[in-house]
Order: sequence, then C-alpha cells, then structure tokens
Amino acid sequence: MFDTLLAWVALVEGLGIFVLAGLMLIHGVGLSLLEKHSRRRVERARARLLDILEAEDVTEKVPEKRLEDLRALTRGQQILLFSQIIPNLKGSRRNTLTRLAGDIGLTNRAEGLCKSRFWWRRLQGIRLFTLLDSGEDIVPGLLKDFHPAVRCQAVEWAAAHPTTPVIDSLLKMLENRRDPARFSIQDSLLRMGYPAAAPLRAALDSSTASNLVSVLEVAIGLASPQFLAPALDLRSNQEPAVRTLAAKLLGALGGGEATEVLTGMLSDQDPQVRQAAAAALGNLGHWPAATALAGLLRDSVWGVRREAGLALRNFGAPGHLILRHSLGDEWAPAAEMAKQVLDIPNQAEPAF
Amino acid sequence: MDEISNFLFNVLIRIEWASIVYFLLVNSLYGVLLLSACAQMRTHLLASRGENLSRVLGSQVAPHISVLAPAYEEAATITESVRSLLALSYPNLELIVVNDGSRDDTLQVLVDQFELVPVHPIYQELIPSQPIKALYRSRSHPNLVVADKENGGSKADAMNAGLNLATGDLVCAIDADTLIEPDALQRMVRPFLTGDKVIAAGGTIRLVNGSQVRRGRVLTNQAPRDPLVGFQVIEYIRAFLFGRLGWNGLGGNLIISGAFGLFRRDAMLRAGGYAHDALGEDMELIVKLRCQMYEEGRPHQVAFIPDPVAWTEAPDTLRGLSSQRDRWHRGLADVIWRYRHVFFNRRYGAMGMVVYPYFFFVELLAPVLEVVGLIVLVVGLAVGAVNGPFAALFFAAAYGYGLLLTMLSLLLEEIFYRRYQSWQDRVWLITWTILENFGYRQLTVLWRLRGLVKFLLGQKGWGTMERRGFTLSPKPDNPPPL
Repeated sequence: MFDTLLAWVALVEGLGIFVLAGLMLIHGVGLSLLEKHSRRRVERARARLLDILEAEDVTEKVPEKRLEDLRALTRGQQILLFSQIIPNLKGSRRNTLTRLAGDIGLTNRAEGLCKSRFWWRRLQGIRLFTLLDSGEDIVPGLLKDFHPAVRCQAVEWAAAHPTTPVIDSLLKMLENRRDPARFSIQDSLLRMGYPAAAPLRAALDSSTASNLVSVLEVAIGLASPQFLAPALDLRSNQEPAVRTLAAKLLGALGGGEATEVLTGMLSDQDPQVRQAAAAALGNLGHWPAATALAGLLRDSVWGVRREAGLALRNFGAPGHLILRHSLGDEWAPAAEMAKQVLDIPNQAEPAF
Repeated sequence: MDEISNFLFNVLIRIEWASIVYFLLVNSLYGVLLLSACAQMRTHLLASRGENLSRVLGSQVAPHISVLAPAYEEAATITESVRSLLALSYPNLELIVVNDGSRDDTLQVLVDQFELVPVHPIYQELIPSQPIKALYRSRSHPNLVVADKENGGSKADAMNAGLNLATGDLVCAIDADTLIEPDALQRMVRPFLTGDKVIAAGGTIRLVNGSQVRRGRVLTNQAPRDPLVGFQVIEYIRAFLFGRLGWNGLGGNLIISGAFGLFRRDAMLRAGGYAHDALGEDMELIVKLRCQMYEEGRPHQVAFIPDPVAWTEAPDTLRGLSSQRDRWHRGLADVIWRYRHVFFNRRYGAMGMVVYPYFFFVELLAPVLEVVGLIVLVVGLAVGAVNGPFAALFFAAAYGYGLLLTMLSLLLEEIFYRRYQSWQDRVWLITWTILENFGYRQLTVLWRLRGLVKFLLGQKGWGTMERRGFTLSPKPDNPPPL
C-alpha cells in the first residue's frame, strides 16, 4: 500500500515540478511579449499627453478624439503614466493633467476604490487621489480607517490638504502614541508648515501628556514664534521627556526669555533635560551661560559633560577660557572632557 | 546469534520509520512555511504597490541611521562597497567604516579614494571593544567616518567599536563587501516608521557573482553559469523568499543576515552589542535581543522585508564554500547551545515553543539525521531489512518534495521580482534547481556535519575567504545611468 502511495506522491510531485518549470518559462516569456506590446501603446499615449500639455491654451476642454490613446490604456498603465508625469508639473499644466484624469475616468476609479470593503483597494484609491491631488470629499473620512496602511496613506494625502478639520483629525490621532501612522502624521504636519502652527499651538496649550511629546516633536521642526509661550510653560512639566523637548523647542526659537529659561534648566534633575538645555545654549551661542555650563563639566553623566564642553567651545574665547581652567579640575572626568573638547582642531567640526 | 541479528533488524526498521516520521513532520512544516511566505508576500505587495518611497527622503522626522561596515583585509572590494553605501538614498545617514586592523592596504585605499583627514573623537565606550587608534572623516563625503582600530579577532568586536561611535536612532549592520541597492534603506526603514515594536529588520541577500557591477551598483543580474555559484543562488532564493519570509508570520525570525540588517540602537546597546566570542554573531544578537524583550515582557518584532536587496559575493571554490558552511553550522550550534534555556520554554512565547525547536531539530540536526538515515538505509538494504523499491520511491518522493518547494520559491521570485530577465537565465535557474540534488546537497550535509563535529570538539577558527573584487566582473557596453 505504501509503495503505491509513494509512487503516486512521486508522480504528482514530478508533474508539479514540470508544471512549475513550464509556468516559470511561460510567465517570463509571455510577460516580456506583453510588455513589449504595451510599451508601444504607453509611449504613444505619453506622446499624445505631452502634446496636449504643450498646447498653448490648456484651459480649454480637450476633444474626445485626442483622448483615445489614453483611454486605450489599461487602468494600471494610465496610473503609471500619470504617476510619471504629474510630480514634474506645477500650476496650470498640473491642473490640466488632473482634469484629464477626471475625463478618462481615473478620479471615478479612485472614488470607487476608496469605497471598497477591501483595505488594499482603499489604499490604492487614496494613493490615486494623492497623485491626482483631489479627493477632498472622501479621503478625510478614511483618516479613521481601521487598517493602518490605509490610515497612513490618508495622512500622507492630508499633507497637501491643510484644512482645519484635517489638521484637527491628525492632532487627535497623535494622542495614540502607538498608532502606526504616527510618523506619517508628524511628517504631514511638518509638510503643511504655517497652516499647522496655530492648531499646534492650541494643542500645546491643551494637550495631555499622552500626545504632548509627539506634538512637541512637530513643533520643534516648525519652530514658529507662536510656540514660545507654551514652551516656557512646559519647562516645569512633570515628564522629563516633555521638559527635554521643551528645551529643544526653546533652543529652536531662541530669544532673551528662552535663553534665560534654558539657563535655569541646566540644573534640572533629569540628565536628558540638562543635556538638551546645554546643547540648545551652545547652538544659540549664549555665552552669558558659560559659568553655569562650566559647572556641568563636573556632571556625573557623560552625555551632559560632553554637551556642556561642546557648548563652551561654541562660545569662542569665553568658553575656551573656562575649558582651559577646567583642565586643572581635581575631578578627572571633568578635566578629561575639557581636554577632549580643547583638542578638537579649530578648522574641523567635532566628529561626534 | 539469531536474537542479536533480530534485534539489529528491528532497530534498523525502527530507525527507518523514525526517519520517515521526521521527514513527514519536517516537510509539513516546510509546507506551512511556504504558505505563510505566500501570504506575507501577498500582503507586502498589496501594501507597497504604488507606494511613494521618496517621501521619507524629504522628511524632517526620518530616523537617523548609522551604517556600520566592518572591514578586514577588504582592499580589493572596499572602494566599490563604500561607493555603493554613499549612493544610498536616505536623508539622515552616517557611514562608519571600521578597519579592523587589516594587514593589507584597506585603510590606505580608503584614505586615497575618499580624501580622509584625521578627526578628534569624543565618544563614550558603552560596549567594550579593542581600542580605536584613529578616526578619519572624508573631505569629499562628510557623512563618511572611518575608524582604524586594533584587530579584535572577530567581526563582533569591530561592530561593537562602530556601535560606540554611532549616533543614529537606527543602526544598519552590513559586511564591507556587501553592495546595497540605492533605495534599500528607504524600504528597510518602513517597519520602524509604522511600529515601535520592531527592534530589527532584515532584507534579501542576493549573490553578485557573474553580475555587472559599476560604481558600487549592480547593473544587470545574470543567472550564474558556474554550477557551484548557481546552486548557491538557488539556496539563497529558497532561504530568503520562503524561509525567512515564512517565519515572519510564524513566530518571527531568529536570523537577520550579518550582511544587511537594521536595528534599534538603544535595543542593541541595552543588549550589550555583539558577543565577541560568538561564531554566529548575527544570529546570537537576534536571539539575545528577543530573549531580553521576552524577559522584560515587552512586545517586539523582528521583521524580514523581502524587497530591500543587498548583494554579496559567494565563494566560488569548493574549499571556500566548505569553510563557509562549516563555520555557519558551528555558529548555529554555538547559539543554540548558549540559549538552550529557551528550548520549549513557554516564557519565550512562539520563539521558545516553535522557532527555537525548529532550528534545533531541523536546521542543526538535519545533517546528522540525514547521514544516519543514509547509513541505516544502506545497511538495511544489505541485510534485507529495507525493501529496495520502497526505499527508491521514498527517496524519489523526498527529493521530489524538496524540488517542488524550490521550484515554488523560484516561481515566487519570477512573479514578484523578475530579477532574471532572459529566458536563458530562467533555464539556468531551473537546471541548477534540479541538479543541486545530485551531489551538492549531499556535500553541504557533510560540511555541516563537519562543522557540528568541530563545534563539539571546541574548534573556533574562522577560516578565510578569498575576495575576487567586484571590478573583475564584465563591464557593460554602455555607460551606466548616473
């Protein structure tokens, strides 16, 4: 019985191997032929599309006949063609291309995909809308999609659509620190730039610890003067991570009030905060803080000593004077850090 | 006397049956792995189709990545490798090449080619390593740093020195002779952007032998005509597209190739970096990281992502290959022994209950069981304990199943990646798939068995691999696109 079974198994396997090898060859050769054929069609359509875009008056409706080559392409080929051309265009020509996409049914296709019950179709739909720079009616609803990939793409789309409801939705999403879309949200808010500043300021004023860190990270990137007041308030937040980011934000903003607060933060209990404050003062070149920074050369944490040393170096002559004085410090790690910082060649940037 | 021969006869039959049961179990597991790999591949492709990879390039919040490339006597390939690394498309990147006390011209080649100038280091030695003698930064490529250190006798020591110098949120560990595709980091960083559970990620390794390489980039990929390299290409496709991808959905990977992996730096530092005395330092690090995460009760993930591709040179001599496989198997045995407490330990979740036992029974013991099975078969046939036609059919079915799985992996490669464009390439790949069962697989079994024996005898030598250098590959007729 086993012999017969094994013989059948071996036979089926042999057939399977034969079929798979055949499939592999047929797939490769068939696809090559298909590609050769479709390449000609795509090139023809591309040439026609460029002709239309080069026409002087791009505001007029394009005659149906001129769209035939575009319509002859499959959806995939149309999307590929548009995705290759759209990123290189701006202004009226880009608008024309978006209008053409609507004329050949791509916008309707994107809408249909966004309503699909399959996540990968919704994802493709938003990607198409992101490409075509449209979908204002349908995509904001997908910011709450259950599938993370769909949410991430909707957030990516949002970067080019900085409306108040969209920004509010993004800030609401930031409350979940484990949301897979967190990177996309922060990135989109930063790409929005100025329109995101006022809502971010409001979020900094009202945020709980749950999303404060994420909001601060974005605020540092934007560095709008609107953030100064909340940043000053946050210096006394209970969370060290928040205070650290507040110090970085103050460092990005600069100014008299910020440097005064930063100097005070040099004596914070948390080493990360001290380190961030020292780095910020160094970057701002606020030499009146040199004496306070000199004290940090005796800090028990290596990272704080390093930032203090580098900040002093940034101050030029006053800092160098303190560093040279610290060479004689009786506590060896402080003297060693001063030596390392002073040894950095003048013309070169510090390596690390 | 009759009693003894009856006893031996029964033992032989039982061993044969045990071999059949082992075969069925292992191959069922392979089947599950393949199904899992197909499901993973489908999800991956659905999610990545039409994706705008370049978005991360213009992002202010993209994580900072430090690429660590240890180099030991790599003068022949180091220029191409570093050029390939400098050509990586990623916004926030520092490249740290660690010259691990090379006795050849590796350092001088780097100094000459990349205009290195000495710089002063301020860094903290968080993980012990051999001392760094000098640090250099490139004038032409400011993100390139070269550390010249005393030889530590292992790649782990060089990596740890690099880890001390690294400033990135993520650390990309590579071999200095690895060529990485320009968009590989953009692809590899994806899981870190969408989940804070991911502690490490690995990409696909392919073999560069026979391909055209210029300025650190692989221009065309050709199926090797040399059988020894051809067999290895098939092995790599099987291991990455079916093995590693399959484990993504079945308890996670235990190996991220040392030739190309991305890690969270804080997790690496917490784990104490690479073990200096480990033979398989890449696997050891992953097991250590995962154990630590389980022990601290932290959810984590070690992801394999199929589309970032790195190219490496395969040994093209029997001697080089045997030394490599022997070393790999010793490394596996070493890690399995170090972390034996994980074995069937519920505390370590799927890793302890599924992945670790698999690596022990299937990966580590396979050569032993295969050789024992063959010996018993021969003896069984000689004394009449095994039916000849049955044995032949069994072998046909066993090898046929392996062949079928490999063909399926090749088909996955063909459908999803199409790296091999011409029909001749496909014919060569099918040929190597069929031929590898006749001699090559048996040789690898012997090499692995030798590795296991050496491990049991306590031998820890690394062996050497001769580098041909990428520039020896045929040059293209047309200049490459810049």
